[in-house]
Amino acid sequence: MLSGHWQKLRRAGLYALGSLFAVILAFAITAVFLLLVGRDPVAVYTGIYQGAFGDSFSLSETLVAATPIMLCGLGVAIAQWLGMMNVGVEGQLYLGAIGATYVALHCPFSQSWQMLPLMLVAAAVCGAFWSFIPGLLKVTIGVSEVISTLLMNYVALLLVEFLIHGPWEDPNNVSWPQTAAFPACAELPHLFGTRVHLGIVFAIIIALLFAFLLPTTKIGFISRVIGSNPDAAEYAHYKVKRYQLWAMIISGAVAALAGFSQVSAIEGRLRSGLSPGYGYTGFLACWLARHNPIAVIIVSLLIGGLLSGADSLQLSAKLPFATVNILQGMIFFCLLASEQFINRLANSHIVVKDLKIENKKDPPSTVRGEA
Amino acid sequence: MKNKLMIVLLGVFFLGFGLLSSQAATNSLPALKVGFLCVGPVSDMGWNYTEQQGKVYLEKTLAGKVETVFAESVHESAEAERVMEKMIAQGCKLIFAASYGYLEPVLRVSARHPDVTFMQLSRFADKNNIGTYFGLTGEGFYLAGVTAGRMTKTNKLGFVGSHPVPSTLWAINAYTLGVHSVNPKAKVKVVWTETWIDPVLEVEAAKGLIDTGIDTLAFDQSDSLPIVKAAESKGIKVSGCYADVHQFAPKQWLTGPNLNWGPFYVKTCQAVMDHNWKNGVCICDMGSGVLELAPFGASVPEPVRKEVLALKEKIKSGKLVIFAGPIKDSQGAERLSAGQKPDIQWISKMNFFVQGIDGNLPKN
Repeated sequence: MLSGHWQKLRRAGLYALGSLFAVILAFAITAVFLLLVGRDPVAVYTGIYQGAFGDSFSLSETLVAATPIMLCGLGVAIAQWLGMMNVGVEGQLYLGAIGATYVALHCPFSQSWQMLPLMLVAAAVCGAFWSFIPGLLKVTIGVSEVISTLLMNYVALLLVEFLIHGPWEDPNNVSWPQTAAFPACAELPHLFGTRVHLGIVFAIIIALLFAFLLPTTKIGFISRVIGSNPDAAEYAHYKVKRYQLWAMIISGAVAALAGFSQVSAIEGRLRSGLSPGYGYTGFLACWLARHNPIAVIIVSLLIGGLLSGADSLQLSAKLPFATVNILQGMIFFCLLASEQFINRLANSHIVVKDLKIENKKDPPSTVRGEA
Repeated sequence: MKNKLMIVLLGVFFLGFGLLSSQAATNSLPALKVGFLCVGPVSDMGWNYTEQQGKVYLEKTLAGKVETVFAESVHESAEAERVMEKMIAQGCKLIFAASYGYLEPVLRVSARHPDVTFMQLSRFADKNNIGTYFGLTGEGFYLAGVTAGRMTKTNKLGFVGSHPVPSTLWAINAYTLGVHSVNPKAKVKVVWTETWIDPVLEVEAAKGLIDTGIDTLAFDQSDSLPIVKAAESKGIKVSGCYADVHQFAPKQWLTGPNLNWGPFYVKTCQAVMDHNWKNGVCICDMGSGVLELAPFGASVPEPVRKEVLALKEKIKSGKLVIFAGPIKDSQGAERLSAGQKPDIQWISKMNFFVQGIDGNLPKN
């Protein structure tokens, strides 16, 4: 019988090797496609790598693409630690963008130190409100937060469409779906003269904060108990519902920062198509990272690299845009499939043990049944 | 723990993979590298397809002198900024930003790269390195309107509009003027999708229009096939908008504007190579040779074909100005007085429907 420590390490090794194998498999399958259309896969993949991490400019663009994914991924993780599945980060991102835009367009500040904090707070409050609703529905009347958060994404998107086609429409360019440009003081500072912005600093601070708080504090401990077994937590008289509601609120606020930083640093205005699915990609990043805050940052960086490096498929290798989707889909598919496979392998020892425990448990119920 | 290990190994894999094969490709640079951005897939048989066809023509005509870089399905958002930066990093000195919403990213990128020339579609920018070009399909829509006005039996025509921006309004108004020039009783019904490409929404809009009793359909979307195929299956006459797709509606196809960008691209590239490019306005209409009329469908009778082709010659030679005063908007207010001819500044600010259009501009 393996000791607990060794078993943990074995599991970690299996996951690492499995994920590595999955990514290699995805690249290999795509390589077959590339060979079929007469392209050299090595050259194509080199192009992606160069486009993602090859030079300082590519690296900066990777960081830009990764930032909203990080914040959304962290948002998902925070809710997930307490057993709440927040599929609504996309919507919370848009609400954050709405909050920030309201302040940027309507508050008569001219100093960044007044404007930006207020935009941040407004974004966080709006995003938190958007996740508070499904959270409240869940803890009070048991509405599945998976469904309600997902559906609220569409409401958020329509709300943005309403605002940019209606009251907040750019007065200088009527009929084009966007707001007026933000004043200069509403622009989030950029780093090193690139498009990389303060949003990535927010993401890293939040990740470090939670990576530190979760294992060391009492609240962190209670959260972990609730996350792994809410019934047991209830039994221990922890306020499960209150914790879960707060987790949803914080989750939404963090995801909203993605929307705030996108409108403020990148777009400089609210427009349709602000997020090409950052929320959903963040959700995926969070699950690939198994809800570990530090891992979310790293996985987001890799996904950001894939998104931004994939430009080179079009620009250098002259492949159609669909190839980008094929490669990305293939990687995610293989990673998710490998997870099931690894779980089976990793649990092969435990299954026997669990069965024994179940056997011990079973007899009393049968006795009761007979009586 | 396990997560970290997995991630570290993943990272090592990516890095190692890159290091092993990091021989940067160094090509001998041709005289000019040209970048194209378009908003949808080039397989759309519409706007983006015509752009790609133009690129192919350019490559053939200026072979050896020009190299092209093409990016399809680029969002009209900060994503375009990244793609353009990457094009410039690859050595592009001329970029065609072929969609309305690219102007904001173009403004930001062009400020950082004053040595790169940008051609922005349909919008003006007062910058030394940004030129503007218009794919003015209005004259083609006018001729399609004449054909449709002759062919309709119910006198109810439908138009699926994309974004209600001036260039789209120009197309719809021109179409309606064409219809009315031969059939003053006809009414054009307009439905907006407020998107360039959304096949599902386009078909919904088309079907909604068909339910109101129209028998002729036109549209102004980036992609052609969803609406053309829907019209064919429902037995509704249809005209196209950017490319000739008559083979997809053998029974119901009428005609439509047909864009042929090639010569315009060649001219622009030549000007940039010869260092005599200026940030002016290029109008790509029938007179310039970019806009042509697609072939007629089998159902269009000979007299109508003759009439439309005669009108086309008049437009080409400048004898017929389709937007000539007096023009009244759908509310009855005069927008262009008698004898006045519209210039591009006027067209690029168009914000009204002409009379005969049944429908409203999206209002707040």
